[in-house]
Amino acid sequence: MPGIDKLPIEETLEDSPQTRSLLGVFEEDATAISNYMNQLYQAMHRIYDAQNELSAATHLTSKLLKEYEKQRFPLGGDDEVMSSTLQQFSKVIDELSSCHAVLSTQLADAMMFPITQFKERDLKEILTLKEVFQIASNDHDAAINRYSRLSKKRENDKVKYEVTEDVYTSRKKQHQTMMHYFCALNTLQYKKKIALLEPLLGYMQAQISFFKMGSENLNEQLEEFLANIGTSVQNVRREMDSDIETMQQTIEDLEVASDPLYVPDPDPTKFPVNRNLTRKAGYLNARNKTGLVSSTWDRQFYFTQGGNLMSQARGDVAGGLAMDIDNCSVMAVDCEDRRYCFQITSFDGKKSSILQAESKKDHEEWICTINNISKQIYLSENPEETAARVNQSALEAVTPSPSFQQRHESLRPAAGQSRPPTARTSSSGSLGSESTNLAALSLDSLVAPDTPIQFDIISPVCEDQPGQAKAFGQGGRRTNPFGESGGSTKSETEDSILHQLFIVRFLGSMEVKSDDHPDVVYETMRQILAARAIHNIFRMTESHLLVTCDCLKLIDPQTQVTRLTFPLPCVVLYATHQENKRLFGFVLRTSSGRSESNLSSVCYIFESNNEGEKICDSVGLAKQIALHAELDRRASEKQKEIERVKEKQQKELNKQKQIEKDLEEQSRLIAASSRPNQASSEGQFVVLSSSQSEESDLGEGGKKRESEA
Amino acid sequence: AAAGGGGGGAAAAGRAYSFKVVLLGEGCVGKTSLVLRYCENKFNDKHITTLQASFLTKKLNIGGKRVNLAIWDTAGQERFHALGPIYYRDSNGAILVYDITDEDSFQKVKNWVKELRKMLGNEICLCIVGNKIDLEKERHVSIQEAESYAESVGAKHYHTSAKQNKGIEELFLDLCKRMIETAQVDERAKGNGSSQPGTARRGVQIIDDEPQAQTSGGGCC
Repeated sequence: MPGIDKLPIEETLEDSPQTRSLLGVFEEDATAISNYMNQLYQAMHRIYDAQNELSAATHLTSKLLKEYEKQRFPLGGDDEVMSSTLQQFSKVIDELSSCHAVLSTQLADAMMFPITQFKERDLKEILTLKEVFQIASNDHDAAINRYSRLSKKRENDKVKYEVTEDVYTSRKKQHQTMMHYFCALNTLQYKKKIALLEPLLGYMQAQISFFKMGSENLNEQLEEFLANIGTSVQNVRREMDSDIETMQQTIEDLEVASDPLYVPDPDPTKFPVNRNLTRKAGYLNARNKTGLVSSTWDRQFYFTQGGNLMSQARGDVAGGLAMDIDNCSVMAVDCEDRRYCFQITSFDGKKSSILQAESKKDHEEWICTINNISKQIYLSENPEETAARVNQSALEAVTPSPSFQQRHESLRPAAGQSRPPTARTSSSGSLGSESTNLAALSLDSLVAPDTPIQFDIISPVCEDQPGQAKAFGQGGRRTNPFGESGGSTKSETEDSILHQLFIVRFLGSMEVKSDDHPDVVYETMRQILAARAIHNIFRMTESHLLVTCDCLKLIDPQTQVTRLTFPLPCVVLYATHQENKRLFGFVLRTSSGRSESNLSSVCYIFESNNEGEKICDSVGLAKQIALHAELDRRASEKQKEIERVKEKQQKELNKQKQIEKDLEEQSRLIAASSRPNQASSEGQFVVLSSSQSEESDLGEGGKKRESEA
Repeated sequence: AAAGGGGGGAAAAGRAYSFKVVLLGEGCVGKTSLVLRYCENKFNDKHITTLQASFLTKKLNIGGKRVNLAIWDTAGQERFHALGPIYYRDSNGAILVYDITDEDSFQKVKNWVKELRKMLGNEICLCIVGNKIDLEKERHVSIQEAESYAESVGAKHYHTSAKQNKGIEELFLDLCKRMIETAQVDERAKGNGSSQPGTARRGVQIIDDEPQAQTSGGGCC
């Protein structure tokens, strides 16, 4: 170490300008040291702060890792391997953080303490001394100045003494201050060296002990652990890469494949309708009636769950029951000029919804799916196949037979196509009524192949089919519900003791091969509903079905014009659907079919207001009454033979007795006018309400007239 | 429908309890069948996988207290597991179903119990249900094991058959009674504290609606 420059303390009393110059050099040096050491202090303080921060951050990291297993991650929360791995990391990092904490303390003691001491104590001392010296020097200068101006006269001894004393004091002070100042400045040269080296020593030693501690903690075992984790990270990365590749491939594939699907109403030729679905999900618009005429449409997600249709709004967590669709009926409907609407009516007819699909394909698929579910195909062993089989037959049912097409070419060029013309049926049901005639192939040959289905009532006015024309001879007549005789025809309604009216909607009719089992009716119901569903035929003509002892009549509810009359004896079979009591059907056997020689049977299907059973009961009753009436008629013919003989014998007697008993028995005769001999035969079916008993009398009278005729 | 405080006579004063019950368990153990049998009295042998969660509702009258039950049916397949919390959130009761012929499905119930206790604590009434007891011959989960496990986790155990309609009415009736008790305890606790309406516990809502005499035999209507 080179010799250290020193301020000469011995020369402080002399206080020569040279000494003052040297002091100036030392002061400059002290300022430079002060500047430099300040910067160094700041740098070291940053190290210290950083170390503290590192220590705290490491500790926090370890704490967070420890808390991993307490976190509630919605996904993969139960990953035990991950949480035990993190526990292990947490332990190691916790040790690291305590190493860092030790280092931090050591830095504080061995590095920050000495440099702070130098900065705060030693450098400050120099500054203070400098100030004090400056003041003392100025004081001395002032005292000398006053002393120098002392007069030669002797008279002012007191002043002279004071000034001399002042010089003495200030000179002493300056000298002493200067000596201490010089001493301090000389010492600073040593202190500077110490203040530079001591913190560095402390810093290095702290680091060495830190790294020693580190190498003790981070042993080979840890390395093994890290190697394992490294491998698993690699594995995860590989998995991720391959998954990303797969996902990207999927995205590419889907991008290509989905393009046509963005079109809301895709081309049905490119995306064929799947009619064999037994479950479906997707968005539909549901119609909500908000008032008499107003309604809103809500877009909701619908899905089938077994035999239930569920709906769910976007924000809902689960779907709620929209409708039980077991045995429901579904058909396309027109609604508020919206496209692709369909209506589902529950099995009991109490609930019905109108829904709108997004596309034609969706529309048909929903109808088919719900139809398949309603028939409980979803419960069969192989629903797809069963649905396919059933739908195949339904599809065939709507393929037009060549003969029919020819016959109807003039009427309907596109007979059998899926969309029937949309001309509205007039209220009378006679003009513009449609006859979509389609051929059918029966599933179990209950219904003959090539059978056309008639979806609307053909009234005599527009009758163009010879096959049906003769069967409905009574058409067009006005039925008078008040019992006034409209004519002398024997089948007039008002003659019947039974007179029940039901509201029905005609679904369709078709020729059937057999008429001896209700299955025929069920099969016809199935085929007609399927054909309606598939072909979007939703129009139904509402009529009043009048059940009397002689016939069934379809009457226009507004004009009271009889649309069709079915003679009761020809109604050989009638049934309501076993599960869907809305449906009712009967088979009419008629000899006036296409060929006169053969008897033909036509099955008519109606939808009622859940009164299928009542209608059946009513028809049953009518047939029973008709049977009894027939028996009665035969009985009464015999009776009359006997009566005629008796009458002749009694005529003579009566003439004599009449005058005598006339007055006495007048009242009794009136009471006895209810013909006791007929009461016995009538008693079996007097089950009608009292209001109808008058009619029953009339009916009896009518029948008498019949028998005489 | 205002949620409100009120004392223990809440149900008697023309109000009804609304409870949410969630069915959980492995796929194919018969969750949907249980719900369908209970709510619609329907059953079919054919298994139809549930893909979407849905709920059916049922109204009960238990000792004069009217209860509206929303029974949530979930998809049991593993890939839907992550959705579990969304369904059991705010549930008053959980029915954990296993198939007595399938040991794995019972293990799955244990996992559900663990998860529910962890996420919902003891607030939820747990039922463990061994379904398909019509297949007793093929039983693979011992009755004793199942029952003692249920007891150890504070759940009640039931044996049911959706096919034969066995044990289902009892299960739901029992669960409802337990949920009413829990709700009443809550009500009382709330009554003792600040009688502030509108702070009903989690899912329990006391709903005001028109008093309507409901007569029912066997507790169900």
